[in-house]
Amino acid sequence: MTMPNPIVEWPSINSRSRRLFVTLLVGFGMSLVGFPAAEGADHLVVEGAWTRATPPGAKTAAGYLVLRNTGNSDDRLVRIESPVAETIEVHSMTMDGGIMRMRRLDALLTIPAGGEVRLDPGGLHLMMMGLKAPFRQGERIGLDLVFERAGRIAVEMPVVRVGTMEPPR
Amino acid sequence: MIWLRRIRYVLWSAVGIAGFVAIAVMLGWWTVDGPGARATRNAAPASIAEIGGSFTMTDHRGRTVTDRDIRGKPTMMFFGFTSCPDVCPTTLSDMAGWLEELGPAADGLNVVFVSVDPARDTVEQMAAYLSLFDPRILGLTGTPAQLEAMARNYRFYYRRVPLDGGGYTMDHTAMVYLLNQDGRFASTIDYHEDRQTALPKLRRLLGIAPAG
Repeated sequence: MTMPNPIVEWPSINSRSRRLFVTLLVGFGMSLVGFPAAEGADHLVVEGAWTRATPPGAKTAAGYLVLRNTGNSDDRLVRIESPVAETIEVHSMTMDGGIMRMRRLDALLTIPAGGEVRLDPGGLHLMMMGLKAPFRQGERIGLDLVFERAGRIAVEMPVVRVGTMEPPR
Repeated sequence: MIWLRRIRYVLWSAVGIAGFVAIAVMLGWWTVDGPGARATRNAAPASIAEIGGSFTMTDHRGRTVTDRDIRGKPTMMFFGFTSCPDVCPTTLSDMAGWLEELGPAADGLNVVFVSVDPARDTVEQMAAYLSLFDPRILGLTGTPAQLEAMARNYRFYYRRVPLDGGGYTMDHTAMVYLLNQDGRFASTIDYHEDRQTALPKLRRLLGIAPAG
């Protein structure tokens, strides 16, 4: 080896910076290929999904569920897909001074490592817009949740009576 | 003396900037909160005692309904829209449940669902939507002007909020209003107020003794 390595030999980079650079490079590489496969999909558990029957003509419905992350890294819900609605997003609902407001979440929903996120009536919900057909009590609505790390998870939501406030047992 | 001139320039530009900021703040105040503010239909109830008055809307069967039609009986009134996935169907279902618990006494009560989304909530849409709930619930919709006039008198809030992917949702007052038989404000039932307090309020409104 007679040719000097340009990075190693660059005089303005001291050895600590060089080590940091190499560490970052390796970390970046691992983040591209290593981690998503390492943990697999089973760190994310979707539980207690449900939705309500919709009145005739209603074009929207709200879905509720619990997302639990048993892994060591945060995960994020990237998108929700289902043939039953044109668009499904995570919305928040707030009640302030008797005024109800619903908003799409600005950022992707993060499920913290070792934590859970609950979508319950009166708070966060899956906002299903542009329903192709009304939801009828007793049906099951299928949708796919796509997570940044856990990938795609299929979920079935039983349809319960309109006005229900608690998840079905 | 170039440096003196420079200081003068700097000072005068500071004065200019300060003046601009002051004028901008004044203008902002004038148009948002001050005398130049647009007359807003979104005013929160200044005095809930003033809630009530005239309105002209169309019910879900296509008939014209005015405030005179709901006089003579107390009224339970709720505001919402049919593209509302949570609060509206839940409250309509709650109201239907209260009617059931009131039994025959419920016939002495007007139950009104006012749409704050006249663009989408046509008479046909209201009729279809309400078919899932108690048939005693009267759906009201109207022209944007009719709705605005009613909101002014009944002091409820609504605002159209665009959604990113196209379409829109509505912010709106989600309390149930209770009006006496003269059409004047009596009380409210808040979202998810306990049955334990909602029913006594309705019985008081109807002038009937508590059950049991």
